[in-house]
Amino acid sequence: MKYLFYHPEKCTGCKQCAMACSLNKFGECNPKKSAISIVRDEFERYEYAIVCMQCEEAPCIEVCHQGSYYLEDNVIKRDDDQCIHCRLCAAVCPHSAITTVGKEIVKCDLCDGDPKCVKYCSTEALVYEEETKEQAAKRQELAKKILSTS
Amino acid sequence: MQERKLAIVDLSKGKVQTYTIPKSWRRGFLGGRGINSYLLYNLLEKGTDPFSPRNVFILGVGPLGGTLAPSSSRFSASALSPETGFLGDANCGGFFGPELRYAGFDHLVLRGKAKNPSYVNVQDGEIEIRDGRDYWGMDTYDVQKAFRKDLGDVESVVCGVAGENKVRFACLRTGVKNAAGRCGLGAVMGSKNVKAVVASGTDGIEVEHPEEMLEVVKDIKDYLMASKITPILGSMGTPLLYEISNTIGAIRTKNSQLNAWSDSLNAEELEKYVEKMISCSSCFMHCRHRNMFDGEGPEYTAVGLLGANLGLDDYPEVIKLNNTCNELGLDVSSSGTILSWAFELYKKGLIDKKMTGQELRFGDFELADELLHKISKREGFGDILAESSKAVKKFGPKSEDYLIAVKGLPQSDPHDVRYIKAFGLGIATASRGADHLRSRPTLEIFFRLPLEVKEKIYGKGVTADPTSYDGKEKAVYFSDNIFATIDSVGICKFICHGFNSPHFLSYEHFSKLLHAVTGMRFGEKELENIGKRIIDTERMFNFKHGMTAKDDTLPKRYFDDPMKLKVGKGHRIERKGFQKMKKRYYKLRNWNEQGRVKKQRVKQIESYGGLP
Amino acid sequence: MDITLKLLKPLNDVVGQNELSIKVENGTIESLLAALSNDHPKLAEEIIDEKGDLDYRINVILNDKPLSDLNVSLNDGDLVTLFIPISGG
Repeated sequence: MKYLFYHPEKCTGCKQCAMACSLNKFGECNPKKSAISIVRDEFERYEYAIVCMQCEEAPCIEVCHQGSYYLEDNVIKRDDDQCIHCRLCAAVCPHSAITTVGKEIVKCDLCDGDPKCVKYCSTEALVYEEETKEQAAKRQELAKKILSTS
Repeated sequence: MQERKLAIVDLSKGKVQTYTIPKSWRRGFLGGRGINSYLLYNLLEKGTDPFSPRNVFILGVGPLGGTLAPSSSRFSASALSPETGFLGDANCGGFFGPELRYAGFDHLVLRGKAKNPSYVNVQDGEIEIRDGRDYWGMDTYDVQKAFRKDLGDVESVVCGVAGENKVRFACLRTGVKNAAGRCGLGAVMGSKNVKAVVASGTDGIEVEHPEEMLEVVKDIKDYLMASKITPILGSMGTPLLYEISNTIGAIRTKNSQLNAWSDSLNAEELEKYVEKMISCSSCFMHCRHRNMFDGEGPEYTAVGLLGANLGLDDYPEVIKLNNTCNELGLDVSSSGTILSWAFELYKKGLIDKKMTGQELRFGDFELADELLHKISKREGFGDILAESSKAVKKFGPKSEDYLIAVKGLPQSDPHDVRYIKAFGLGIATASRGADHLRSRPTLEIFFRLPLEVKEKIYGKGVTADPTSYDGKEKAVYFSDNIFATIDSVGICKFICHGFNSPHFLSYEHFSKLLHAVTGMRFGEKELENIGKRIIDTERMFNFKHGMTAKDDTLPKRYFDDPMKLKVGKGHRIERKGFQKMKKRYYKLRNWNEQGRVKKQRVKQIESYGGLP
Repeated sequence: MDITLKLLKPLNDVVGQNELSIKVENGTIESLLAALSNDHPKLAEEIIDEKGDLDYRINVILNDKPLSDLNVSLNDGDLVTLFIPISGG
């Protein structure tokens, strides 16, 4: 199974990932309306991407009372037609990876196996690749850690 | 098609008026620097004092700004320059330009003067002049941090303490080191009692053809990433140029008394002090160093002008001086040039302790740092240095012979132009004064570029030899035009033809990107013609404000003193060769013998009309 | 004869040295390139084009003289500097 991996040490904070995502999903360039968000502050000296981790036990699926969220080929997808825009999903996401702008709710669906964010990343800070055992373990450990503290 | 918006903020009356930018202006001047220059020409009356409320301060973003277009982070700031009295214009990266567009505006004009210290808040289509007294007196870092703390996730363009005190080379700053550096625009902002323009917006930029844009940008990205030059620029940034210029003996050293300096400032040394390379908005290149002294940079300009030109050879000291300029809001290029000028004048005895209050000397980091602080506060001798080239009035007429400036603007490029003659014509005729980002025909430094390649780019008649004057007007003409277009579409020169590799982005790429974003078709020739129109408009502006052909000249030293070291040894600019080259340049531009834009052309440009 | 070859960044990274001492058969640039192909094939690959000539984007400085034409004669002890004249601001 291929997943999106992010290497913060390679990220330069350019936001092209978010530009491409919003352009692909909404036909506009808007880094605030994207499934991937770059949080950055040049004075505090960081840049970090926030994007869906495709949790195995996904709070968004559990919490959605309209059945908008569902699992398809190990990717958590969202059906906007079912959604009543209550934004509970965003509230419970342990990674803050569900973006809400006005009425819009945006969540990464890996672009049906062709994630645009990866395509426009020039440093391979974002990669889409088969998960290795170590990566899987790391991802699950991280997810557990966050869930246990939240 | 998306509309583009212009707002005029009258600070004296506290009024804001918004306009839709006429489509004819977008066709004629694109946006960014182009529309800024046209607005300046229209809005500014003859005889305006740069520090009077009648001066206008303009911010403008190009049509590609803030999109997926590569390196589309740029905005232009324009006003009548307090440093030169002519066109003041500077281009800047970071994240502010895009945010201004997300906030709903492409161009913003500030006129008049606020009663109290203020800032202008632009948020989701609304503009407000707000009380800025709490922010007055802060350095450029603190004030931006304060805005984020008070207002949330905003981007701001600010003036530092130097701008508040109307230092004639105070810059605008956004982020840690992005600067609209040249021509004293920070001082114009300060003179209007404005500390900052703050932007935040939740709307994006609607793209006319999203699929097409995704494709065009992917192709451009693959193309740029395949270049051998890209990874070099991305790992070392501009400081790489120091070693190159130094190797050919073209590093301005100690106010151009010498032309080569220490290897200790080579980029290799800098790597020790770099934590990470970072980017401006939408940039594949990431040429910015996050340094280990709590700042960003340096660029080549800082390495040359705060290093070699001040007689400093220790990288940490150069980085620290650069950080000082960043915090205080001082233009690095003018800072390094003006300090070195004063140091030489002191050594020559043209100024003395009675005026300076202390001994001046090259190679003294503490002294340079102290003077930068004094300049920003206009304290003691700093008050005189804060006048930039206008300090000639205090230093005496003889001092001008040692000033490395054109049209009153200290030279930005650390590159000594006495060897490559086209570089000389470039800084002599550039619309904002001695500056390499206006028309430097960079390819002249490829000493083995086959003539046919050069001719294909610049046109027949250009010569291969960089030390020849023949045909060099064509190289400058080409560069001047394409740089104006680049500044007006809203992307960075670093990824463009003419400024960098001849294989980087050119008119054909701009044309594709513009179509994808705006739906408007621009032919390649048309885009070049827009560049020419912008140059003519800026020329009209400058002549309206008193410039003449006499101002298209070079520092005396470049004519009279041959270079002393390395490849450049013995080279200088010969007056006769230079004058002939300049004449040919005027002719190529279709300007008259006095360098003036011809009447018919003036009429044609004026026919684009005033504000709707 | 012995020629000192100075390499500026990033060419020096290819060989891991800023300066190389090169033994050349005769005093031509061709013989210098031939020696490089032999001793430092990786560097040669970076700077020699498909026709076997030095790529036109590589600047050459012989002692303190920049070369536009490579038809020159080298002397024992000469310093040849090679670099890519990348630009920027």
